[in-house]
Amino acid sequence: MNERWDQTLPIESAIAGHSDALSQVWVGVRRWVAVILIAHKPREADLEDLLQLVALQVCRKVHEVRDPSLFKPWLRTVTINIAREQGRKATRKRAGMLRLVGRSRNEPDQIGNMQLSEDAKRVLDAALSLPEKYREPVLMRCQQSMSYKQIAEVLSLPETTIETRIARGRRMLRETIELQTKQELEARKKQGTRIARVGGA
Amino acid sequence: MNDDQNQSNMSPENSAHLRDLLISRVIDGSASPEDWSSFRILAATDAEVWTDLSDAQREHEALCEVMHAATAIADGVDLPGGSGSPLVFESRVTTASRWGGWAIAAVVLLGWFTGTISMNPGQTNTGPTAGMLPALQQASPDEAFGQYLHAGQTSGQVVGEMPNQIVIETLPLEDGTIEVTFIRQVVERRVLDQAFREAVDEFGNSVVVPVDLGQLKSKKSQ
Repeated sequence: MNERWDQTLPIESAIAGHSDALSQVWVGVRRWVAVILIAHKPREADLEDLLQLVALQVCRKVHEVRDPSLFKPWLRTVTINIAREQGRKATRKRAGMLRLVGRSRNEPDQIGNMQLSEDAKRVLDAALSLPEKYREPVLMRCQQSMSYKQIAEVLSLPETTIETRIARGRRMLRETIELQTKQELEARKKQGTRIARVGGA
Repeated sequence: MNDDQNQSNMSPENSAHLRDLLISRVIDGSASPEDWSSFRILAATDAEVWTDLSDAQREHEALCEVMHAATAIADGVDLPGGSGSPLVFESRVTTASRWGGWAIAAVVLLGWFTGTISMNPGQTNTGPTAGMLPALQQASPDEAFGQYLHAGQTSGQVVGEMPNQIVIETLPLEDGTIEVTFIRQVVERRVLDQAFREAVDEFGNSVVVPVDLGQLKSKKSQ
């Protein structure tokens, strides 16, 4: 099945209760759902668990969507709420349980147990520190199948606004990383000076 | 916007905005011939734009790597329709799979190795036998726990222990063994004069709803 996110998804049939149509819609949207989850979930929350919760909520509540054109914004709202509420809940519950037994959890990277390059981790950290209105479109644009138009549809914003936010978000990302790199270099420089002084003494 | 005249007439904000847009369009591969010519004009006066373009391109590729990994995870998550009702799926989500991976198998194994106390007080299989109780200070953790269950069941405060344990963490050790951190769940009974239940609204938000105890009573008595 072509997993490109496109306009031909049978959203109306899915809302009407046809399970095959709903499955097709889910396959078409689950990648951008994952992106929204990454943009909003707490760091420790597991992406796969949250995706399963969104899938469940889609099954339970899709019939309540009154207008097919509102399906994508509705799904985005559901996804953000699950990312924040359930993600925080699961994280707190697990952390609390481990704390009760005097243990702290090894912190995973932000998308579960996937191994990411140092560059990717660093850029992801910076991207997640962007203000929300820039974070989501910048991450969504990295899904090669999503055009500005499609991102605009999900975020219920004009296409020109999306392009501006992506362009500005990318600049902010660049500045954040530049700043981080400078700070790291300065810290290393200071540490080097201190070691040299101790060595000299 | 493709000549020097227009560029020099722009306010600093607009100029910065155009710079951002041009870099972004080049990265996305959507720059038109006009955009490219504006970019060249910009680069003639601001050579740093090439460095910014190169940095932005590298950062975009790194982010795409992250999204590629996320996509791989998303592609493995299907709707619950194929494996029974949503409620069965929900139960699976909220219990075992929350802890992920092979922890599910560990739950089953723990049930096998540690033994469990049935919800039926008459079928306790690890509870202490009357008259053979060791003093609490000398009791092992399992014996002390058994004494608590036994005393609780006698007083009516404890209903029993759930047959399945919840695995929080599994840690393979260097010697080839596995350390499992898990929860043993005990069901207790209390009498309350006010209660609340957790519900979910249509957007997935958790909400707390008071329970009408009067209505419950009348239903029970019907």
